[in-house]
Amino acid sequence: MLFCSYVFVLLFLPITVAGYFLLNKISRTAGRVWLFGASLYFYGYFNIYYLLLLAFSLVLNYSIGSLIYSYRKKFLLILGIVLNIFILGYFKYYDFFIDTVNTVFGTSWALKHILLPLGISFFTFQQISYLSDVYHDVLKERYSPLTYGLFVTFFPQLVAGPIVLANEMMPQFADEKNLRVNFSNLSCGIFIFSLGLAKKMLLADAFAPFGDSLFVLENPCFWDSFVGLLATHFQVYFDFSGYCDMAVGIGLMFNIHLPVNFISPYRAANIKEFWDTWHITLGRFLSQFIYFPLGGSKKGKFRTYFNLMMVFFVSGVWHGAYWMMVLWGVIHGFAVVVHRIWSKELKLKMPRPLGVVITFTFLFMILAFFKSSTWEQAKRAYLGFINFDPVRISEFSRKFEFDTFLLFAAGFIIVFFFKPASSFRENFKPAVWTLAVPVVLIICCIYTFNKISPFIYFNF
Amino acid sequence: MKTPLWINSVFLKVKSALSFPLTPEKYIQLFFLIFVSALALAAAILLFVDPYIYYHRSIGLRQVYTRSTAMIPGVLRHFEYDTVLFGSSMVQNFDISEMDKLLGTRSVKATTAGLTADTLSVYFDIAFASRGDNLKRCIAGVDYYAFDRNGKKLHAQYDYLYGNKLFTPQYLWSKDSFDAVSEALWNNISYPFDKVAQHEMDFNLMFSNKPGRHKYGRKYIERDIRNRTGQMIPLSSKVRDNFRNLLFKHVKNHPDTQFDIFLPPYSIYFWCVLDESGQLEDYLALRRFIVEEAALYKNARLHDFQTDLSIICDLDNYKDFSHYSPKINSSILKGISSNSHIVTPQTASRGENLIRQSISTFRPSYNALRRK
Repeated sequence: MLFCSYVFVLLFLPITVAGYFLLNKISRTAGRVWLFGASLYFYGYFNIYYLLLLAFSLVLNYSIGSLIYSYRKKFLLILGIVLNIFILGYFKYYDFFIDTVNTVFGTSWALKHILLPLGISFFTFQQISYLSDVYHDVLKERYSPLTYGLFVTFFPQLVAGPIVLANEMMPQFADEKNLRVNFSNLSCGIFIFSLGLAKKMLLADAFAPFGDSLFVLENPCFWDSFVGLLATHFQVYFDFSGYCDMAVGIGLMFNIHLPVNFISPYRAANIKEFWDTWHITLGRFLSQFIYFPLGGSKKGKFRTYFNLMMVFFVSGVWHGAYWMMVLWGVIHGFAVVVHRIWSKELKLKMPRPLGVVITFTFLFMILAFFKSSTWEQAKRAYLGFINFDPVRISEFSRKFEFDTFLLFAAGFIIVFFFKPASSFRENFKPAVWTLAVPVVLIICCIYTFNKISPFIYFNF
Repeated sequence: MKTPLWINSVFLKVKSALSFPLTPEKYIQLFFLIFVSALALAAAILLFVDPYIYYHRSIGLRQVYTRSTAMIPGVLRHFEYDTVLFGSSMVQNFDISEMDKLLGTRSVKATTAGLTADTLSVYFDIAFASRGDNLKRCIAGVDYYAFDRNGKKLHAQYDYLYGNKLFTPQYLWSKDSFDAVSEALWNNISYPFDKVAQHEMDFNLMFSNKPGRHKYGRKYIERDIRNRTGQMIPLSSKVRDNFRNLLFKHVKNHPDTQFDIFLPPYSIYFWCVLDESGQLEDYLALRRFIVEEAALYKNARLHDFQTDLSIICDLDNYKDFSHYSPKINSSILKGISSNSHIVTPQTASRGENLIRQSISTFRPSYNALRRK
């Protein structure tokens, strides 16, 4: 079930919210069972067989967590992590591994074409964080299977994050205060949800045709590549940040504070600042489970650079089971290392506006690797730059009209000058205008629901 | 330059109104009240206008016949008829009043550009489900391309209109429906003075091309031939199965309904294109197959206009290598009415020979166009 669908907005969400708070009046368990069941229904709506894997993963991780509670053995933690990585590796990377072996060694092992269960990367990482928190005694109490189940399956964040940590979520599900409807949270949640929905339906999907077309054009001109990559940028940002905003908004309706994933990342003046504001929860997870265990910055500068490269290598692998994505991750890692040398070793400073321009240009130039599954596809996207000829206007570019320009202008203005939707969580004030905005936006978005519009990050 | 005081005053009043605080409870109440009311109002308007005839025929408004793929199921479900004309862009321009006069029928059209055989089969199902034994006659123009597109449903975008669900949110609240409602209301307003609106709301011309939209004549078909690039895609291995399963299946399942299937008159240059791309014999073999299949059923008559040289060799009848002008539709109706173009397995080879001879005659002029 997608957030941007009739069944979700008109049926599932209002019924689930209403049912949750009504049942909580009868018993706290009834409400939470309702929410857990609704989350499973939400996930199973995509494909009922996904539920089997999710159920298995829940039982496995909760069982290992229970053993860690009882015996506190490190090997149990390692076992849990390895099993989770194995499950993720099998479903997501089996064909990637076999394909790579076939290419390198000239073998012809058969691919299995395994269907990737939705959200497996996210709920796997979340459960690894749970096992770690249990082992390191971060969780102050031993939570029930129901609370654990809610932590993993809570539907706003189940299929595309944000990647939540056990210690930040489970206390919220267990807190009695959160079981009563809070109209302030509900109204703020509706407002933030509407902003996220509009980002996805009205912006990301508007940019999609320009971005998607670039990767199928045979001979793009300079303007095709320029506009196509810019459109891809905006599409990816509005698609993912829109989804995360919707998740934050929905979470708030249930009195659950989900972590924020984006804080105006394109205003970053350097690549480190970008990664501090883009997909924040992934960066947090990789820091906690890759960077710091490898020693962080405490084992000398070359080891630090290596640790940083490893983080981004893993990030690339996590984002996609193909080498273009790994390359994208590695390039980012290299950029972060360069920035570290520039700022910490050479102690050079750059005017902030220049830094913003350079950072944006860098991100713009390497995005084709993120969107492409093969080298040929990436190369085709860059052809307009390679065969630099700003005078040539292709058939595709001829279709750009004044409203195309307006769309991109709106994209720039929102990305650089609007405050993030999730920031309203701190200072939301119910008023006529904050009422009008979600009514108008949600209705406008409902009118676009009959188009098929999957989220980009569902592929991860 | 200072802003005039009254603008300042209006601005401050608007700002004050928009910033008017609400309690969270009031916010939620008003949100649901306004949200539900707006959706209900939009749905009520849609239900009244019902531009796609999903729930009912037009009430108090003239019906607009433009978005064929969306409307055909509604036409087949809610109109009274005993005959349906099925087909693609090759069949769009037939005039219902002319057809009814010549054939003594009471008909509607299920014609849409780019029709695929899968969607055609769905149209048959809807028509028979709606009319049952009252559907006395089906007239279908057979377009080879329609049967060559394996498994492709033309109506995928409007799938929600092809079922029987009472509650269809995709229809009640979508930009497409909004546009259709707007078009219907505007056409009704502009009907007295807008010829295009009058055409689009003419039942007899439903789903046909707007007048003057296409130009027919030798120079247009010659331009089409000169500008053609690429090869004709070879017929797929499934095309014969498609004919059996998506067309002749309905002939077989409804023995009390008369099926008049006609082969539309592509221009002679169409056959030259096939000859040039080495596929002529495949298409002629497909023709023979269709003739033989039709002959198996007593309730099927196959009318062959593809070998009517008076049509196909007169290049002024065409706008491109396959689409003929509306006046040819009249000739086809007269031919169906008089059964003058019936083809059987016994007479099929004569038609093939005519095509081959005509290709030889027109090959020099065709080649000259291709060289330019």
